[in-house]
Amino acid sequence: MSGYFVDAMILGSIYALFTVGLSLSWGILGVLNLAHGSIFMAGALSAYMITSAGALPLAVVLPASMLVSGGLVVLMELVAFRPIRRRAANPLAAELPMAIASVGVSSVLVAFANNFTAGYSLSLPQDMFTVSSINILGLTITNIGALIVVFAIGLTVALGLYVARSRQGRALKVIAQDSYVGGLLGISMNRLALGTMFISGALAGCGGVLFSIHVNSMHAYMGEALLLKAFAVIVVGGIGSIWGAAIGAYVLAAAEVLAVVSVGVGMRDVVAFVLIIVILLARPQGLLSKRKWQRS
Amino acid sequence: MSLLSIVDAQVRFGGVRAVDGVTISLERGNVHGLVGPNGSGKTTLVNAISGFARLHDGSVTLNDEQISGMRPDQIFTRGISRTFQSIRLLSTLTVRENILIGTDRARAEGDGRGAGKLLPRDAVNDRVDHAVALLGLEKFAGDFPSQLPYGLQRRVEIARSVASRPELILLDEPFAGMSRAERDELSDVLIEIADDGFTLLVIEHDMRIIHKICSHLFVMNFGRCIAEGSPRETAELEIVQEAYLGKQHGTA
Amino acid sequence: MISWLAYYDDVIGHMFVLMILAFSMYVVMRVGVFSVASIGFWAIAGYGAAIADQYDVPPLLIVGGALLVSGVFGLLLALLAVRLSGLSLTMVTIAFVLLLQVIVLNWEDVTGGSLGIFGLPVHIGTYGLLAVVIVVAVLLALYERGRTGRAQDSLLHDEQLAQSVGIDIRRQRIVALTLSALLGGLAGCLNVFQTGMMVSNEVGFHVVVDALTMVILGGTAAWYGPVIGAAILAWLPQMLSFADEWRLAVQGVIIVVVLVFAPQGAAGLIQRLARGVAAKRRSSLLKRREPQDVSA
Ligand SMILES: Nc1ncnc2c1ncn2[C@@H]1O[C@H](COP(=O)(O)OP(=O)(O)OP(=O)(O)O)[C@@H](O)[C@H]1O
Ligand SMILES: [Mg+2]
Repeated sequence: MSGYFVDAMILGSIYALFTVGLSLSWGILGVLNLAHGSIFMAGALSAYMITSAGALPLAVVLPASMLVSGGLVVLMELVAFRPIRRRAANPLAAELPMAIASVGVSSVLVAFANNFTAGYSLSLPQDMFTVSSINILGLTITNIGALIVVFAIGLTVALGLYVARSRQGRALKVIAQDSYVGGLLGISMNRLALGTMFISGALAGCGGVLFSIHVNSMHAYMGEALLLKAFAVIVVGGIGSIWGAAIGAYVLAAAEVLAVVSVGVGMRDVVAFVLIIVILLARPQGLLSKRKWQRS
Repeated sequence: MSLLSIVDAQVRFGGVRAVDGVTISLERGNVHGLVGPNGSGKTTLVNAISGFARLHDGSVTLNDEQISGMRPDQIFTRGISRTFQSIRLLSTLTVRENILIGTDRARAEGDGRGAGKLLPRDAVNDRVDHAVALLGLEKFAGDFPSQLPYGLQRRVEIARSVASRPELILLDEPFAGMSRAERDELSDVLIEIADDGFTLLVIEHDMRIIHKICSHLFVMNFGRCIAEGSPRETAELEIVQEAYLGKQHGTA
Repeated sequence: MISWLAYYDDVIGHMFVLMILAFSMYVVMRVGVFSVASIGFWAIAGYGAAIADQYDVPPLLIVGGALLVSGVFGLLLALLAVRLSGLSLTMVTIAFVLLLQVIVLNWEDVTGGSLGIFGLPVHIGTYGLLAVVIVVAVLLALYERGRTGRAQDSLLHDEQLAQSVGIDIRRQRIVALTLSALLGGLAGCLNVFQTGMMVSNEVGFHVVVDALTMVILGGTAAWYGPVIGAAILAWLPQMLSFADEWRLAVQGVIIVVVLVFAPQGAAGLIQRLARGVAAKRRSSLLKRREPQDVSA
């Protein structure tokens, strides 16, 4: 029984690390970043590339990979999202082209990874981080599993508090409601967009590195499957909500573990879709983005 | 019976009460003016009538049928047409096609329920021709909007509204950004449109224009209708002067 | 010429299949919706056709069945999805495709898993496909003339304006999504008929990228947009034969570049050129008639 609990905690933590950034950039900037899965993968891939250049401990590799994945999303913002936003008649009109452009970027990243890995699965070197079992409060968990949980909860809480408390964080909320008013208040949309994008990418990259150690494998498409899960998490937690994403992540993980235990492994990936449909039918208005923009 | 009755309409955006308990009615055949300082809720009131803003409380009825709660497209097919404060023309269509859009979903006359048949082709052409002529756009029907000066673009929007032959036309600052000469011309056109039997509600800051074209005036401030009546008497009320104190426009 | 045609018969045939898939993407994008549901119906119809083919069901019956199934499911998905708007709607269609990926890979008995189903008879040749494309293109061109075309233009460029002139956005979207499902299903079915196989790759990420490349490159201004897009995509591998493994990357770059620099796509550029020519001709005509105009 406790084994299932540990499974759900680790799975939920991965979902949280993945989804918080996705939800944030959607809710605040109207960017549905469909390359988010590739960014997750890019984190893992850059860890592989860094360690193949020289033996380094995780304490170095992880921040470096987060820098890479965060930097990639910043690059996306600069070369794709910002020019599209600038051209669009209004912020709402930029949302669909930005989402489509993110598929284009994802395609580039996947092609790169596919060529680098020659289509195979790779695993990160053992000497970077040695996986072993530990015992916490009577629960048996691998040290990497524990690390995933600690990082997910730590980073989410830190980010949540930052957004709630800091000046920049409150500015984010203003922009989410109305970028025009944000402009009036002297908030630089561009700077905040860069910050949000960086955090979003760095969190995904962190998840990617830790996850690839956890399952001892990484490949070009490792992030794609997570997108479906992230959508379910966002639907449960609400678009743009950090706490919602965190809670939704563990709810989905628990539901999946429960479904696997009670029905079978085949059910695991269907849960997310069912959740989306059920919530959609029950309360579509909850799904609607709060950003409402009217030009009149 | 009034054409349109608004009873205790309220529209809120978060904490902002953009329209805060407005009760007014519009009479058939009149040109109504709607004035008020910036942010007083004029556009929001027009949005509420045309279905673009949800009423928090109160109701809007057209010919005894409640239209508040309906979608904008349903309200249009029941006979209310509107323009927007900013120019909204489709750059990919010609002037004539932009006006045609107004007739595409319009219903045959005499049907207030919005369920009637779509117009037959020759009726469509008649209406568009009539609207084009009324707004003096004959020479520009084949042009694209971007080729026209600003003042004419505004006219195309009004023509689009007129072409649908609605019971009520709502114009949100149709004179904005025009030169004095253009304003004078357009106000003559609006008078012609009114003579044609249309009912209008016109948002405008320039009192000179209001005096010229309107038979009835509503004054809004802080989301409320603070005065109404004939333009001359209403403009002289102390409460109205106060609302405009320090505001340049409106008393010009 | 004849030998050239014979040599490239497969490429040309595939180009026609791609055109129908591009039409499927186009009809929804044309009303301002970013949906990838087309790929879902392409996959459902593809597997349906492949499976039915194994049981020697007559091809015409298979096409009919594919259209019926995609039409019905398309309508259901449309009714569900139009409760949402913008990115939320997009998200649901992506979730739909991701779910199909999971099902295809896990339901091996029926779908053949990652290997797929192959060795099926070829039921349609290049001329047959050309005929289908012509019929669909003509129908679409007729459909988007006049009233419907203007409604689509207004939905694409300005939803509020569309509503203000009596256009029921939801109804337009339901029609478009259903039509898109029908075309996607038709394309998927023809794809199997042309290639004699259905593999799990056809539900994958690269089909999404293909479909987007076509519709973004061609643009949504008119029916010939997707024709242009599909023609270019079909010949891309020939042009890039030296770097086939980088094809996805090239397509990704194309998507982003077009979205940033020419968001209206090829069809939009053609239309704009035509507008410029028309305007010039008019103004020269007017100049010649100037004296009359003044007296009138
Ligand atoms: N979509 C919206 N979201 C939030 N607040 C809004 C929205 N639309 C209007 N408001 C607020 O409602 C109030 C009334 O605005 P409205 O646009 O109706 O004023 P107005 O009288 O038309 O002003 P103007 O003369 O500048 O056009 C303002 O305080 C405005 O900020
Ligand atoms: Mg206004």
